[in-house]
This record gives sequence, C-alpha cells and structure tokens, in this order.
Amino acid sequence: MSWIWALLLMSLTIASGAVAQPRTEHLSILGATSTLGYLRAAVPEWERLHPGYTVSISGGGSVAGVVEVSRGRVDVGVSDVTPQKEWTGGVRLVRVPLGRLPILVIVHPGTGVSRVSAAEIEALMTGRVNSWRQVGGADLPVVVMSRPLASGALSVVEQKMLSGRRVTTRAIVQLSNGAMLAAVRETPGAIGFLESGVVPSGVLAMAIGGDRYNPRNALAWPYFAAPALYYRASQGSGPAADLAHFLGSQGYRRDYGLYGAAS
Amino acid sequence: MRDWTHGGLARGLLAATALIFLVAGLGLVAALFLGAWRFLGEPSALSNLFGDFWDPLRNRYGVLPFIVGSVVVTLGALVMAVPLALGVAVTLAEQRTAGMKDFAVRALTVLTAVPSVIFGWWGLQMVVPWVRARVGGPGFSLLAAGIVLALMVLPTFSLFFFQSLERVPQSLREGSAALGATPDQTLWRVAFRAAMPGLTNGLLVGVARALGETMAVQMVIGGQTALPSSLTSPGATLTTQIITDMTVFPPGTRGHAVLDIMALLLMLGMYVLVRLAERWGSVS
Repeated sequence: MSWIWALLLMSLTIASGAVAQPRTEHLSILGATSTLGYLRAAVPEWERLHPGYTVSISGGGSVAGVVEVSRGRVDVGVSDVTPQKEWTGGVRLVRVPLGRLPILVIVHPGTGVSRVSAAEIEALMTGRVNSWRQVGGADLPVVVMSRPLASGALSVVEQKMLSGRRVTTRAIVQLSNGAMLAAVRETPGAIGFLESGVVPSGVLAMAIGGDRYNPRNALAWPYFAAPALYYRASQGSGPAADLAHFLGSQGYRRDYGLYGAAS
Repeated sequence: MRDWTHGGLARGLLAATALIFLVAGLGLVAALFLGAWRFLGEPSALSNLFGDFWDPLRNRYGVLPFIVGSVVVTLGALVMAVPLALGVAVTLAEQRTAGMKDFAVRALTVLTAVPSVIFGWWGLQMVVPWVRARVGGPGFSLLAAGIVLALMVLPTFSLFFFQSLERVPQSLREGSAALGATPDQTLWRVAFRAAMPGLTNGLLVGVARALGETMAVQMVIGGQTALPSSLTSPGATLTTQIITDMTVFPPGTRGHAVLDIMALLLMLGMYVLVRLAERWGSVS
C-alpha cells in the first residue's frame, strides 16, 4: 500500500506548491478565426501593461464566440455576426467594434475570369452557373468553396453578395480562412471567399459589379465583415472590459486587414 | 510483497474507478438522449431527419447524406485495406526469421499510433491532388476519404490478422500438408478457417475505427451536405458534420438536438459492431 500513500503525499505537495504561487488572473478570448492574427499581436502588449494577468486566445468561429461569452465560459468573445437571442440566452453583451474586414471573392487563376457582374456572382455561388465558359472564362467546371454555418464571412456573403440566397449545397466546405485559400489556389475552377485585407498570391480577387478591391481604398469595398469583441455587461469595468476596449483601440489593426471603425 | 488487492482501500479505489466509468458512460448516453428528445418529440421528426437535404437555417435536418457518406467511406476503406492487410498478415505469418517478424510487428504497432491528423494532412497533400489529376473533379471526395481511411486502418487490420494467423496451431498446417494439400490450399482451407474468429474481430475493430474517424476524413472529404452522386463527389460523414456544425448550435437548440441524434446513430452503429464481434469474433 505504500505506493498509494506516496502518491497521495506527492499530490498534496504539488497542490500546496500551487497554492503558494503568486496569484495570476487568467482571461480567455474565443471566437472568429479571421481576427486571430491581430489579437495574437495585440494581447501581449496588454499583458505587459497589466502584470499578473495572462490571456489565452483560441478560434472556434463567430457563433462559438458569442455563445461561450454569454454562458460565462470565456471572458471575451469575438464574432463578426450579429448575436442572436438563441445564442446569448438573453444575456446582455457589450460590443466593442474592431473595424471592417474586407471579404474578397477569390478564384483559381485558370478560370480566366477576374470581373463579374452582381448577377453573375450570385449565379456562380448559388450553383446556377456550373461552367466558367458561361461567364466568359475557360471551359472548366465551377467548383464552389464555402465555409461552415458558424462562419461570419458566409453570413456576410449570403446577406450582402447573394441578396439573402444560400450558397449552393454542392459547395465544398473549408473550416478556416487558410484552408479556403489553399483549396482555391490548388483546385482548378475553384471560387471561394476570404476575409483578408490583402489579395493573396496564387489566386485572383474578383471585381464585382464594377468594384475592384484595393487595399489603399479598402473602405470603399462594399463587402466586409464587421468583427467585434463582446463581453458580458455584468462584467462591468473589470479586466475583461479593459482588455476588449484596449484591443478595439489599437491603430495598427489595419496592418491585419481591419480598416476604419465598424458601425 | 503484500497482496495489495486484498486491502480495503485498494478495493474501494478500484470500485470507485469502475463506478466513475459506468456513471460517465451512462451519463453520456442519457445526455445525448435528453438532448435528442427535443427534436424526436416533434411531429414528423423522422421524415425530416431521414430526408436528403441538410439546411438547418431553413429547418431542414436530413441526415441521409451523412449516413450514406459514413457507409460509403467505410466500405471503400474496407475494400482497399482488407486485401492488403491480409497480404501483409500472411507474409508476416509465413516469415521464418523471428527478427524480421518482430521488426515488422513493431513497425505496424507504431503505425497504428500515428495521429489521424497526420494521415489527413498527408491526404490533403497527396491523395486529393492525385484524385483530382487521375479521376477529375475537385479531388475532395468520398474516394479520397476512403483512401486515407484505408491507409489509417491498414496497420490495425494487419496486426489483428497476423495475430489471428499466428494462433492457428502448427499441427493443423502440418496435418493439412500431410494430407497432400498445397501451401495455398492449407492457407485458404485450413489457416483462414481456423483464424476466422480473430480475423472477424480484427475486421470489426477496424470498421469501428473507420466509422468513428473524424479529423483525417474532414480534411479530405469536402464537407458537402448534399447527397453524393458518385465516389468522386465531395460529401460528409456523421462525424465530420458534427464537428463542422457543433459550434453553431448551442445546447438546447433544434440543431444541437439533431447533432445529438447523429451521435446516437454513431453509438448505435458501434453497438451493433460490438454485438457482431461477440457473435462472430473472438470477443466474449
């Protein structure tokens, strides 16, 4: 039996050591993956200004960000979709906007199309057009790439770009912005959408209805997500609120594709 | 050394461990049933559930595409992996050098422990482009998922099959040879028949692993929610759809209830496999 007592003694020693450590407050941020780059850059600065606090950041999607902060499982949620009562359970949330994040429609260069009308983009994304030849491109089948239902970008695309229509159920679903970019880059005939302030290499960014995205005039681009940080109103002016407002006020957000102030 | 199993404290700890396991298992099933009931209790729930159209935002919860995806991908993996695994097992069982046999068994054991995300990553880099180049289409497909799964379950199948063949008494093989049977006849008519319970057991364990696999499949299958029209179509399985949509449906919503039902369907599938293993395999 001696091994059991040794194990118990060891556990008690470890536990007492943990109790003796200086107290550290931990905050957690969870939600939209599109803003993780900016948050990972800005959070260490807040930690430096607030000794004794540590902050963890994780993805999970916009809806998860709202749900988890409402249920008190994280301190700050990140989301680029408007919180619905079904997700918040009636909990009052305070919104801190992060800016506008452009949503670009990207295509494989082999499609031969870099400019479409609003009607054509709707037809392409909803599956009514299934060959690039029908919109003046190569003789290639259209391969639509989409994001999961939890994605804020998908919500913006369907509401603003497709006038409320749904992306085709034949779409291939990519779980993250990065996976979407890689898949469109490598799949001939692919079309997808990306939350990004710059046009990545290896794909073409579509001009839609006469609008062409330009990072120098990003606020003129009509398709954007409006990511925001959320904390519970009941958290008052505590560290979570301080963290959210700090993150919402840093000027270098535009280096990460977050332009202007979101409405 | 004292026989500690007769100590009261140790007995208590062991009983508590067993109780925790039992409560956790039953609690999981009960939680899934309670969650699922929100949907199952509705009128016309089953016709909605077994429809072929998944669009939760429009209250369409047809899980048929995912059931079809799970079955097709698992069967595809079996068709590819079982003959290869039998080949590996027979080659190893016939191997006379003990060192070589040991090395191969250890290598297979290591391969069974490779995390599935690595198979998925490899599938994304190699299998998806290969399917795209050879078969056409986007490459993300049931076929790609089947190939990745086949590679994943191959070491498991091979080990189980090899161990089953190793357990066949040498006297049976020698008796067969003494009666004039060729090595092939001995293999097919004696060794395989004698090893059948173990082979079946290995098959069912492999099927369970294939049916429950999520991450590797998710990375290459395409996640399409429509009913797949061919092996080269993108699709989704029960597990991949649960992971895709679990963050959008908080507990208490209809969508979450349907995800609970999908989890229950998977557990039911696993239960059937365990019963089959008990019936035809060597698990008792």
